[in-house]
Amino acid sequence: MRQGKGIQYLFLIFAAIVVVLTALIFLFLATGLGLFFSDGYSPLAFFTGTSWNPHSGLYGILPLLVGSFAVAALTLLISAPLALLVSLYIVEVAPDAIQRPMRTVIDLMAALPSVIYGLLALTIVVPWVRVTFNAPLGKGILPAVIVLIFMVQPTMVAVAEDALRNVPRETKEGSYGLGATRWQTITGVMIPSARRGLISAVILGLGRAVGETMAVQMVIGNVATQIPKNLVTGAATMPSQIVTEWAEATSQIHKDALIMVGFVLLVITMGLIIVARRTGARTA
Amino acid sequence: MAISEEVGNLPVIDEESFDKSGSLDRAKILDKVMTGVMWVAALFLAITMIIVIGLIFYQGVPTLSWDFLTNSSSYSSETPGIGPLIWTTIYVVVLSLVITVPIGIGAAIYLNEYSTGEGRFSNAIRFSIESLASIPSIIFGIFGSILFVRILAMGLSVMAGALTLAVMNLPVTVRLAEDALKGVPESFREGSDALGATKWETIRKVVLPNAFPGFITVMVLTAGRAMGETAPVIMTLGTTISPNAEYSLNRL
Repeated sequence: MRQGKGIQYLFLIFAAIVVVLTALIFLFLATGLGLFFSDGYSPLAFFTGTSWNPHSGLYGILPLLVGSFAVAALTLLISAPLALLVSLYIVEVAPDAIQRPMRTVIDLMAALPSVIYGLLALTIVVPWVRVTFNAPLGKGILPAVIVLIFMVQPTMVAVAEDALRNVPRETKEGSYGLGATRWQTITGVMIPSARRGLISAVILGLGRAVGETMAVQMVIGNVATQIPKNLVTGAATMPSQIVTEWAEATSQIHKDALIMVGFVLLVITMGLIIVARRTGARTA
Repeated sequence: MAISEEVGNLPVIDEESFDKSGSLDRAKILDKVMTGVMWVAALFLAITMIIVIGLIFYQGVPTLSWDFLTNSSSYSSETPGIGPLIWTTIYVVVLSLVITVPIGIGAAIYLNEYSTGEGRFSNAIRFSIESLASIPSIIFGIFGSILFVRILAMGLSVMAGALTLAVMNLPVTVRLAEDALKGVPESFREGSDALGATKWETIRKVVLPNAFPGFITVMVLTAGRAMGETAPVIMTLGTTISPNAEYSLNRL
């Protein structure tokens, strides 16, 4: 009996480690705030600065925020409808013989490491952009968006599929029984009934698009000195800039500025998680 | 979909009254069109991925050779190789698994077997797991770089990389391990309880052996995630391998 008690405390400690780690991550990322205190950089200059240029001591986050926002918004615009159609296809349309291979493809997409997506984008998408848009480098927001559209599909499809499958059978049968076509049933019954889950799917996909680092870093060009003006010249997102400059950031203020960008990213992602929780679906 | 086919075969009693407005026809046409759109969307995704993955193999396999897999890493085209990289990858993944898997399974056992699922502590754990699971990996890179590389003075090292990956994979491991434990039928536990076993005896002799295959899955999936992770590893393990220590165990 006594041994059992000891073991229980051991497991409790393991569980507590998870909580402690979460707290530590927040704590360490919050040390980025040192940028405003010990390094004396003005918060106004950080949040409204239109140039990120460590060589001239400029740490304006706007080019990164705009980059992240543009990449995420454009990705959503295309990937959300695509994921909805694909998950509807899997749940309602696909013949049994196709359903399984389709799932395999989606699982495979989830299993590909992001650096592989980046490499593929670098060898396929970037040259295409270079030729098609007559862009000197072919790197920028557009290739990042193209690769992210595929990268967020597994997350979105999995959550959306879950939500659509949970639509009660009776509800669907009722709609078919009234003589509705399949598409009428989908738009009139299934989508409204699965609405919350579908919103979660979009938010989680958005989280993935905002946080994606390597694939984006490889194709976006990593130019943060100005706010991006178009989709096919160099830009940067928050994570891509952190990983680009982390190793070369030797001064305290540069490092703190990067940690602060990480902190902003963390706050944005946590906001998304909380919204996803509110909509009621299981996250991740 | 079976339902709609059945419905489609039924005689529609009042078809004329629908047809006056033509709305039924239009609905049917729209249905056909949208079915086509869904097919196109799904096939587009599947075919693109198949082509892309095929391309990796088509371009990659011809350059694969034993020498490439075992040579020292080098940018020169004379003797390209990824031997030390493969070794470091395996090393760092195994190290991170050694840390993550016991803690992850332990936490899962607490959550699934001991905790009632209510109360502040359980809530805090759930929220932590959910948060950790959704945080971008770059955040873990910053965290590992500050804690392991700088504060604990490990420098850019295999150990720092492995610890960072361990932290990153912990929430997924807990969740998957919990699924494995949930897969053990409740009646098994009740049977063991009825035989007078203590909680720990039940866990050790009934729950864990039955959840074991699930734990193997946990390890494989966690290893896969750890192996493909990039940004946090660049930030904590670095990007260079000393030529004198390519296969060293002690590059900690």
